[in-house]
Amino acid sequence: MRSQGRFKRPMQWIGILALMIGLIAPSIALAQDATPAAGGGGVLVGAFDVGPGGCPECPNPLQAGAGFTWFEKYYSKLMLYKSDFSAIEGDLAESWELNADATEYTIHLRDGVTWHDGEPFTSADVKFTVETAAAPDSASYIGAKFAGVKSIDTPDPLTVVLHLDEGNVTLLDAFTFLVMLPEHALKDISPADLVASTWWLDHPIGTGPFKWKKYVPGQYIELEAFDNYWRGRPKLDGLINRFFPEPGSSVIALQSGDIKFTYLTRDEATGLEGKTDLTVLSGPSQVLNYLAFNLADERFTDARVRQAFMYAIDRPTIIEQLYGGQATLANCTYILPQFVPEGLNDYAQNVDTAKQLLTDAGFDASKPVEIVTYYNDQLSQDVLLTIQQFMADAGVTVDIRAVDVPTFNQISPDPKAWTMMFAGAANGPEPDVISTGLETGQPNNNYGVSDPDLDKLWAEGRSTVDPDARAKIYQEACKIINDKVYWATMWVPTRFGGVSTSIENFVWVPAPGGGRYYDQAELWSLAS
Amino acid sequence: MGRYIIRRLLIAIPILIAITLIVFSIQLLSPGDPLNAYIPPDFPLPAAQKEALRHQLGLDQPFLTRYGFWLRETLKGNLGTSIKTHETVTHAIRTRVGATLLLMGTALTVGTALGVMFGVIAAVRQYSILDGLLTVFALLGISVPVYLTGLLALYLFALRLGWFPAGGYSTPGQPFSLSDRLMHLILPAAIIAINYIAQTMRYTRSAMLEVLGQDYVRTARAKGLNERVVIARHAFRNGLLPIVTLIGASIPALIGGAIFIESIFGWPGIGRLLLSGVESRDYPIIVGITFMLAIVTLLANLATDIVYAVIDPRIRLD
Repeated sequence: MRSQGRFKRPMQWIGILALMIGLIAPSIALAQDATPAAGGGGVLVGAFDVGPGGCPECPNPLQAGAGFTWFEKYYSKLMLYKSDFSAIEGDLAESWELNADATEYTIHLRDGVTWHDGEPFTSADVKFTVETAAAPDSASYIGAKFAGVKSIDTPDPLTVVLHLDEGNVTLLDAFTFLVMLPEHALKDISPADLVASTWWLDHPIGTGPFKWKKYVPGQYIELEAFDNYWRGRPKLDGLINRFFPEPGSSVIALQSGDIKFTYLTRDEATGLEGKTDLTVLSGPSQVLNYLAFNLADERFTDARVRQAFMYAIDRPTIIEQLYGGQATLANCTYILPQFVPEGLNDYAQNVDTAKQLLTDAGFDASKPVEIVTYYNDQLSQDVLLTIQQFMADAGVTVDIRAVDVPTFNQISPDPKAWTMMFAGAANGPEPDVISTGLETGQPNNNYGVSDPDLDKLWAEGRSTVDPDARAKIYQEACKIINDKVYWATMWVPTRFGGVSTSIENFVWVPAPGGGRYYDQAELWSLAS
Repeated sequence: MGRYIIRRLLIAIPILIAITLIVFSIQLLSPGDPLNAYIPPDFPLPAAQKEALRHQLGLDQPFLTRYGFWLRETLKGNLGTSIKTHETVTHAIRTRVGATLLLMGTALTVGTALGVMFGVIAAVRQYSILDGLLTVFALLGISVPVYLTGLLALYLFALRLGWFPAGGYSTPGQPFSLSDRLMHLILPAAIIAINYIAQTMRYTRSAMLEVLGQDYVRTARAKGLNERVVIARHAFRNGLLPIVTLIGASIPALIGGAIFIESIFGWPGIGRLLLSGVESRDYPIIVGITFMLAIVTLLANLATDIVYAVIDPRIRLD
């Protein structure tokens, strides 16, 4: 055919190439940014905001519900947990005392701590931070924990005295959430304006081991070592938190060496077994997975119905088969041994008992029960499908509806909008954090739970200073929850992180919201 | 022509207003609001705090008040402030549009050039083995979701072969270099380009086959013209019309970006910004980007019509 050999003249190809370059070149010019050079070796790149403990590009730590693994690299708190979460220890606070009924906190600050701009950190900063966070205009749920603070005295630059309207020992835990803010930099910004202030992303000042270097929208935040960090200058020159909107991509980046740390799902952690250049870190998530009942729905007001769900679902099998054994069974809201008493009902699967309880309670099984969840990952979907099957065996038809978090949050306060939920709640290390979901009148008690015995125990738990006496109170609460099954408590899953073996002294453990423990970031270093 | 353009631009104004009204309404109908996106499910936010935040975000205002405020501010050039990051919407768009232009411009240019070329070849060599191979390629290119090809490409070329970085826009913390940017660009641009090649090839092949059977092409051949001239001057120009439509329709994507690819590759473009805005119910970001895309779409349609008139003398815009 005559057509063969057409389009072989080089000028045509050169023309096409020139056209392409002409179109691409201006785009490259547009896309350039003036990224200055990093400080050389010793800059650790990680994905510190991937997974449930992360909050990428959330700039305001007063309002973020997660992201503390990263926030704590440039901000500091008065107190932190030990990395095994066994106790709270001082960070910017050197020591503290509570009076007998926990209505007065006297906190002694560490001497010689400076902000990144060189100003000294003082008791005035603590007073400013607590008052700013607690102001309703700050719209901070972390700040809301300090609503009971009546007044704050600062007798000297290194002493702070908090006066509370009623006894509350849980402020120690609340302080592990609250990053300290510089009064000298923020005093002219009202709490309301601070919410949407650009200060958070424009060289914010903290007292953490690293200081702000730059924010590249959509890409990363870069920090550099703070020479005057009170524990000593970090060994690393800098830290970079790279953003990964698709978590699966961060695992590929970890494996290819582009980053040194990221959160992992269980499947991803399993996939990394045997890699010599990577270490898989793991620990209990401190998040309880549970099935919540809408107690405004008369089908669930009888405790026997709720108990039937516990008997119908074979939780150990789900843990073994779906979680690969990487979850801890929860027979009440707690799994920490000091809060779990002897003699709890373990609700070993018994379908006949479940059926009998449903019959005795007159449960209307003709209508399906819908379980709504914000968990959209594959594992959770598999778990819910398995629960659906277990409930079918007991004669209950279950429908599953997975929604995103905003939709879930809109649905959950409306008792007409849902029947059951599959959700997660932080259940440690402070036992009180989970109580608000089961306390009369609390804003996140969307379930209609109102038990005077529980309410009394929650109040006692908050005002009891002695740890042993407190533990006994929460054991009592655990017994009631186990018996009444206000929530069908399932398990506390294990969570995972992957880290390159080239990082030395690296400490990371899962925690709700991330961070809140001393991870010795100033000692992290890259092996030569 | 001038009057036509002015008329079209004037018509665009009510269309733009209607689009923004629809987007505002859809926001109200969609489940959850920024406050719901903002609060973790197990965190208690007291009613006073919730109301304070709702007031600060303007969510307690009636629909028309909010819309009127937005419209008034937009006319002053202020598209509002992101609820999540607190940066202005214009800044958020400005800092990301370059990345999207680079990614989509590269993909569209390469995709269109190769797609047209392959389409012409496939048409000229209809039913040949090459035509068959290109058709299969086009089918795969159109059918396989970019989400899958993106992850596969990352796995293969970044992890297994190590030829390219595992996503991102540049090496974090390093000074800008063209080679670094290109290395980050090639994989995501190639994935999007494959899709464009497949689409453009199919359109071009069909258009060319239709034109090649026309009387005037037969006449040109009968006059003894060189086959290359017949195809390039007589057939190709007349076969261009549907391709121009396709390119015109792709122009908004130049600005709008590719949501999935930008997410998988961590490319800081408009598509990812929009996805993040939707996930966090960041209304100012959603409306701002939609407004911008509406303008670009209307202008692209106008430009397409003008190019039609240039290519095809039968079309008169007046």
